[in-house]
Amino acid sequence: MNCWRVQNLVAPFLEGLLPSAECTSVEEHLEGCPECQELVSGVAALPDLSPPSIGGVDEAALMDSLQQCIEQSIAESRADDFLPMGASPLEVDAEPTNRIAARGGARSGPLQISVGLAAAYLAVALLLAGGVVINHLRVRSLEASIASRDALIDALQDRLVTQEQPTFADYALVPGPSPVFLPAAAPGALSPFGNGTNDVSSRGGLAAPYRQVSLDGMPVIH
Amino acid sequence: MGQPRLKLVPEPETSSPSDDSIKALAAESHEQAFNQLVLKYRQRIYRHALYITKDSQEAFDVAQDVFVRAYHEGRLFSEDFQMKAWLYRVCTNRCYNIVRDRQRRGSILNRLGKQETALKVHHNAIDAVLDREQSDEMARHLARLSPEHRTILVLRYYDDLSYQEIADTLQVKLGTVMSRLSRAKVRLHQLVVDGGLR
Repeated sequence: MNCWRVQNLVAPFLEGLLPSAECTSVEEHLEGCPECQELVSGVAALPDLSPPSIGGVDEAALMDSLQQCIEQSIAESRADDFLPMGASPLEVDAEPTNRIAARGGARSGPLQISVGLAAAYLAVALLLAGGVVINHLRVRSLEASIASRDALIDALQDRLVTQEQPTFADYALVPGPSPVFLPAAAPGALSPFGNGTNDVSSRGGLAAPYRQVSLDGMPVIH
Repeated sequence: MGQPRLKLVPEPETSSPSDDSIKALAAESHEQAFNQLVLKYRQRIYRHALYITKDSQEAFDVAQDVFVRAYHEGRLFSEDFQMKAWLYRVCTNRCYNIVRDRQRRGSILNRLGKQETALKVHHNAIDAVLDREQSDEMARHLARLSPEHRTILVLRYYDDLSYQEIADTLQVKLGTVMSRLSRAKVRLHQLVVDGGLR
């Protein structure tokens, strides 16, 4: 037994609540340790710790009022749970909370459960309906887009077939955005822009065959 | 003074039904058992809250809250449930939350914010008694202790709980109760010695 241990046992030692073996160890330590002797005698000499006292206060009225407030609070909390109102909660024999806990359920009434389920079904139905409508609109929009694209391609092809391919020299006469030149497709390859060759290389302007397109990537049409 | 002094000492256990008999009653009627529980512990819980908060109205509110929570506690009357320790534990925690909030906001603002109630006369009377008690040297030293040390001294010497009940309340081992209580008394002794030297 050391000093630290004695300091941690001083309260039960002085109250006679230590097991006899530990009590003997503390006593043996105290015989040879004046510091611990002083500490234990000092703690023993502390005045009794007694609770505050009340003079002339009607505590019974306070306790009765406390009981009423508890009853009222419980009645309000039970009313929130859709349980019968009106009667004092301390008199009505409601289902014990321990039985409810054993059932694994919270204090919810059947009405609460029904309303909750109905709300959940409604939310799921709304989500599904919304999804179907949005999908339908997207399909219609894609269809419209594809139709307009097809019409545009047809119109362009018609014009390419009926009109002569413009040359680089012609370009200076064409108002609008400056053209850019992209490498033409391999000879013989199918292209919506024709065979992809022009005669600019023969005029010493560009080494490779190029096709003319405007800045938006579409072929220049005259 | 001429008026008799009413000691705030908990009623002896013999005058009220045992916890086991209350649990047995709960098998027949939960409401009657709860009623017995409130009658047995209302004063002790109120006083325990009063010792910590040192404010009658707050102690009253804490006691009310503790019992409402007890009513909704599903295990309250279970065979192995320590309902006395549970009541003291919930009460202690609520009280220290209040004390902490009060320290943050300031006690003056807190007092101003209180509602006028029909019981104000009683609360004021008890607060006045507590204020007088605060002038007592030991009460002042007790107030200077850490919450941990103050709690264990209040549980042991004010509420008169056994070491085992304190262990159940604080959810610590019996050895921890012994050592914490010893250190609290040693610290109190140091404060008394230092106070005497000034």
